[in-house]
Amino acid sequence: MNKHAHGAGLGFRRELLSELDAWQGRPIDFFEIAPENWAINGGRYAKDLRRFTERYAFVCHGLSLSIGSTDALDVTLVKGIKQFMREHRIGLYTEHLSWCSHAGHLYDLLPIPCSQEAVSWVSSRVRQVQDILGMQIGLENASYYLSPPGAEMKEQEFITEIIRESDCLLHLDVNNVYVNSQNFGYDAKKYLDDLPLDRVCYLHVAGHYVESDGFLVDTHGADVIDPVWSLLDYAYQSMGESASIVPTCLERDFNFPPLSELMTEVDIIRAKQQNAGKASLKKRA
Amino acid sequence: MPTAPRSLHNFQQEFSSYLRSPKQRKRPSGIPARPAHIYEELLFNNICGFIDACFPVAKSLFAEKRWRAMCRGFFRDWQSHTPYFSKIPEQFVQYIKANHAELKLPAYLPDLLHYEWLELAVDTAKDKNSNRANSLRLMLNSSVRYARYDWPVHRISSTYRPRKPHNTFLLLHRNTEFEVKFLEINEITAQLLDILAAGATSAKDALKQLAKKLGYANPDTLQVHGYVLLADLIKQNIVQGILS
Repeated sequence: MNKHAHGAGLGFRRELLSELDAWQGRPIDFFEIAPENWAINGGRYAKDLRRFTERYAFVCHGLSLSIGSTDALDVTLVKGIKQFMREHRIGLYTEHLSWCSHAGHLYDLLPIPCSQEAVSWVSSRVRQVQDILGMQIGLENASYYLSPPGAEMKEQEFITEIIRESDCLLHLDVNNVYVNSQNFGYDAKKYLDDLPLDRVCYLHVAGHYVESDGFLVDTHGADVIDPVWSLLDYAYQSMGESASIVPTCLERDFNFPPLSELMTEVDIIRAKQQNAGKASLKKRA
Repeated sequence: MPTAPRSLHNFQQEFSSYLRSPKQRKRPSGIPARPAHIYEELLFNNICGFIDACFPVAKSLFAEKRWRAMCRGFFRDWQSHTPYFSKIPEQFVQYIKANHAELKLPAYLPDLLHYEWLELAVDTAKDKNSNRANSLRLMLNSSVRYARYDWPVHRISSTYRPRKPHNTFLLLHRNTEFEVKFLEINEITAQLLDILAAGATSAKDALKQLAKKLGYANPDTLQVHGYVLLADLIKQNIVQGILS
């Protein structure tokens, strides 16, 4: 049986391991892991991971699938992820709606033009992945710093179309919505209103970096800021009942504060989830 | 499967070529300078991070500009197809090995990079055959890697750069505390390890094969010294199994 993630979680990082082992505070509901950083490693990496996957639920959040690339889909990678998830009883896999390879890997996430042909192309690849895994995957709305030429629709429509055509799920990254809304000058709440929030299987919140000229970069190296917390509240309200069930992860990739500070942010997520659950119960009553 | 849409392909072709080599290529039309610059930095810094972390000794031998030019050449010219980040350094080793002459890099550099990469390979090696501690059929521990180098790579530093080649056998392995250990070995040990790497075999048989390889008339010549050597390798967890 897979261990299904719920509640509030944290990215599983080697930098946090010793603190996590010693952690005596409030429990954590789940961890998120990038299979590309862990699946092929043995030794202490495998041992440490095993120790945690035996105790906690995990979510797989991939980095190298390159679902939007016109290169051939890396079927070996997908099969490796399937095997990895089975070994560690992981029940959810999400990836970025982006591309990161063309004639070889670029190892970072790049935006896809929001065109009709890209909808069809990406959807066919998502279906191929889902066929191999035998399950639905979640696609994350990515952060991006430019809108590639050739767009024929708004990004919200692009995401919605792909989810519909491939019958996949939405991994909603609230920080990405905020970063993009600031860099491109749109209303983040209106953007959320246009997304199929009934298909959300997973959420992210994170901190970001502001360049000297005001450009926001999605670094995952700082605390979550208040407008992003507010946007998470708004997303939970819009999701209704499911907000209290769907797992939300705090992403932190570097510039780590003491674990207790990260756990304070994880607690904020959990409190918001519980509030959203109560609010939707009241609404029903 | 539908075929890849042409305009999506062209966009990715143009933009990725630009990002791999922004100084030599024209920014694609419709791509503004400011965000293009953000991507240029994000991608290249990311790649450099993986390379720098794996090769501290090699990096210390070059001026920053030269080292970055090597990283840039790798990013621009080498198609790395691994989706796994910990395998990027291995790709860099292959790139330099294939191009070091043309790039006029020191002759010892491919060996040195390989040796530095080997530490990562051993640290992350998958665990196998963990239940062979009591088997008479000896086997190499799955974390063991050894290599024959033309240069004394383990002695190279910013204050020592070898001028002449010198045959060097080095072995790296992981001990039971998961620490990576380094060992200089001789050619005979390397040949014995080759025999064990080719397949599990008993101590007696392995030493007979070794005697034959070395051209000894009496196949039992090595039994005494060989057992001592094997016992030591077992003690260090380099070889798994028991002698008798």
